[in-house]
Amino acid sequence: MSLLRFWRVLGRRRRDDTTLRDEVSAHLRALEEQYRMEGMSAEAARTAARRQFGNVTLVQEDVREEFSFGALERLAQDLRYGLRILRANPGFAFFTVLIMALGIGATTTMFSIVHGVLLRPLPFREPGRIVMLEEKWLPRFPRFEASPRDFLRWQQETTSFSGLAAFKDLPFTLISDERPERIVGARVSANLPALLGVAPVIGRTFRPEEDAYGSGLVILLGDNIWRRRFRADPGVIGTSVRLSGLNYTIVGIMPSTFSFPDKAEIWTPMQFTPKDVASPGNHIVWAIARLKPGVTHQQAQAEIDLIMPRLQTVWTASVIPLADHYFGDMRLALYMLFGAAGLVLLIACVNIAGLLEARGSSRQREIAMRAAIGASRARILQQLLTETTLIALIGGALGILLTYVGVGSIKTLLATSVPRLEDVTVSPAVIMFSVFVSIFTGLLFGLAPALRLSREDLNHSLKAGGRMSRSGSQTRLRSALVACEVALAVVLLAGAGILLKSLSKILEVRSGMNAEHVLTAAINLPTVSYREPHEQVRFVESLLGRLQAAPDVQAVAISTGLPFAGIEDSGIHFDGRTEGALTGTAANHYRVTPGYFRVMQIPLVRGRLFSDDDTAASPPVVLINETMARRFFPDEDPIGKRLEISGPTYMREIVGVVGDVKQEGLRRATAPQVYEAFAQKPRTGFSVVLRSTGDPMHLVETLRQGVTAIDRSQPLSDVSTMEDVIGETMTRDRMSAGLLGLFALLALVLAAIGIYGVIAYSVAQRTQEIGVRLALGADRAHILRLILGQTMRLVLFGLTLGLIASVGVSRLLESLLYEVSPRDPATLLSISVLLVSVALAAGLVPALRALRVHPIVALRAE
Amino acid sequence: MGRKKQTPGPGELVQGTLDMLVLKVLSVEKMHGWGIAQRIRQVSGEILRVEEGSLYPALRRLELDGLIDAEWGTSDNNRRARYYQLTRAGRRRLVAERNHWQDLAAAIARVMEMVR
Repeated sequence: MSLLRFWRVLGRRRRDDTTLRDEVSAHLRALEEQYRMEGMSAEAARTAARRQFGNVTLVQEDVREEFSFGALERLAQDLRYGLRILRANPGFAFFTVLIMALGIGATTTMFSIVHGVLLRPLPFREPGRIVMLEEKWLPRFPRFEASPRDFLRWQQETTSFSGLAAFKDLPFTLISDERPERIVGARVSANLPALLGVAPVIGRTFRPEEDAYGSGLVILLGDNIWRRRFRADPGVIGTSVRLSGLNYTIVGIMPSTFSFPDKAEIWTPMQFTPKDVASPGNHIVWAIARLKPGVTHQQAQAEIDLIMPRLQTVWTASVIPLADHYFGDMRLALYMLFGAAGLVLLIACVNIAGLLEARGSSRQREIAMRAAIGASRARILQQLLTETTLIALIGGALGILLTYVGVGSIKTLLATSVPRLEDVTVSPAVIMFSVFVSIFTGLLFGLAPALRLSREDLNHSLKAGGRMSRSGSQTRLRSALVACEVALAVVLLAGAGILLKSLSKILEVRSGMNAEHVLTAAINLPTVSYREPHEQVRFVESLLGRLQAAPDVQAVAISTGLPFAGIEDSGIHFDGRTEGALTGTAANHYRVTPGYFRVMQIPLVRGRLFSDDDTAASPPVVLINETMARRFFPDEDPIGKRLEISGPTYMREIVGVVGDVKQEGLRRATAPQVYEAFAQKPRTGFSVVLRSTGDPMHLVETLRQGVTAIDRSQPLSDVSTMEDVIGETMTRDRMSAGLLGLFALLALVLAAIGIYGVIAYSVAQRTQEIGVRLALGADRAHILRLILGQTMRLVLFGLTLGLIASVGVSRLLESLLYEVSPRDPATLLSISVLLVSVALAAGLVPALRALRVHPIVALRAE
Repeated sequence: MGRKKQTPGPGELVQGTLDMLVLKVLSVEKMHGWGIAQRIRQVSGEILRVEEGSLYPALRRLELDGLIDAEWGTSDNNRRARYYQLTRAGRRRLVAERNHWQDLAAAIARVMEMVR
């Protein structure tokens, strides 16, 4: 039946309009004839027939309705009409679509980032059940690696976990085609892949017995390196590969989605050495575990809390969800930025609602006409909402294009400092989000004006002919909208201002050294070929000798750690004192060659620096920083005093005090620091620092040649300028301040457009009034005051609201700030001034235009 | 869609009965739109007034549902008019509607004639 009907409809609908017209006119003629026969005049009969028949157009509409496929067809009709309306008002269309695109673009960009980094599940089985066990010693070490001894005890004694594994990163050197390459790898407990729920693509993972010390060298390869260096040959399983001077047997290939921890591509069993488990203070591995079904984080934490006092004296451990461990510190910043983008979108909506209100006045007659010829209120509402949704969808489509640009730029700016950022894409989920948001916002900003318009009293509108001045309620609604916009803009401006101030405070902090013109690179000598300390020292001396002689090199040195990058912390005991009796006083522990202080330009405060005479054969010496000197030798000269590092070892004599250098970013206070002479305590892993006379990156080749001249198989890694190393630690601060600043700017521009719109409209409405006032001799200054006064009332209301709101949300920012109060009065004052000036400028343009109105023109306007 | 439905006043048709009346009129002879309206008014003793505004949509609805057919013809006074006639499905529908109506009317009557 319904299919038949469908065919009849299709077959008839095109011709039916003519048929109906003929039929109706036949009907009318018949009626007319009848009235004539009843004795009416021709004229009266025609009128009576028409009256009897009623509204012909309406009948036609109703008949047409029978031929339609209901809602869908009406929607298509509304869409066509909406497009026509937009084409007819290109200016309006351009502005609304642009504003919408900016709002949707900002929101969708932040959503992609939040979704890609925070919301996308980790690529493991039931990732919500996986936890990290972090050791901590507050307040100095809030999250730290566990010692293998503790880890093994946890493995034996806990019952909360179905599995417990340890991992530790381990760089490998792979030589193929004569070219050494440093590859990120990890030592992992044999059960780690099973614990995470990741199976190998080919081969097997580790067997439990392979976890034991001395049980043979086996590795798993990541999919990427297998394709890159082994031509994806499945035959590599069981073969041997030489890594860092040792032969490993390949037992399996892991899937491409697996790169845990960090960017690991090669895994080897943990195989704790006797040295690893020798001391409880040897915090070198991260512990990861899977909660047993039904066990909560709190229960696991309680169990660990019971065990820890038996293992450690000052260290405790916390059970942290895996996602918190990796993304915990970015979550706030990302959600804050997402929220800010949402506010921009909200302002965009309010703005468009305002523009629609303004345009509504010109469409009032059209709407009234529609109502007069029989359109119901619901039908008019539907049509108006379709139009606004159309605007939102077109804006949304452009917004998605903006998202590609936005996500791309954020990725290039921040790639290394935000985990998982490089995998962020504009995914189907993101596009769905943006379509949904577009439709929703289209309805949101369209609803208020549409409701108002569809409620208009049609007699009133039709009679007025669109020329009379409007009721106050409409202007009031627009004013309220603009005040809201101002308030939202204030919130964003305040946030951005405070973050920028915090960033500038951070940038003012002195690092304690001069990073300009300094190149850094890491070298990890294979332990196999450089087992003995004197071998390590010989490599370093030979390298420094070569580099020192190279052109453009001002100074060169070695250090086991770099400021702002990584450094080990060691426990210090002072001779004859009891501070930190058990584990010692924690201090940043650097082992450097004498040239280090010249390269980094760290000042000597007293005593002497290291010299080439401080060797393994001479008495052990150390340098300490000012913080350590001040804290432990407030009233005496530290020179000549003795201390022990990671004791009990042996005493070193303090021979000098050097300046403080920031270690963990500019925001953190400087810890006590101690420097040992590299020659007296060398090791295989270290960084080279080079001071150049010009651009440090020009020295990369010099450095590489210097290394390969000594050992052809030795790779360089982490090549970077010192400035980039420092910059890296601030990318998050830059990102938060920069993006929020951008959003605030958008908000300010949108608010200015909104203010301009409402004042311009109200001036246009009052042209006649202004003309009369001018004609009657009113002062121009008075009229200017009148209009600007209106602007200011609006702005001050919004400003007050915004300031209250921003004080309300300021707590959110607190943890992102450095030495600035989230309610910093100076910032709030300056953004208020900024906002008021922009608002006055936006109001001034229409106000001045009003003054140029010639009274005669104004009076004639009515 | 959307126009408000109100309680029918005297002489207005109860919702849904127009289709039945049209089918009944057409079951006697084929007829044009104006004629259908006339006939209903006359037969009902000038009580039922069919609004043209609802007649034509109803005719289209019945036509598209396959209950009536239409063709152009010439009226008594030599005018072109569109004549409607019942289809087989329309006859079946008329029987069904009449039975339903009689049941309904009888039921209403019983309620209205209730003594106490």
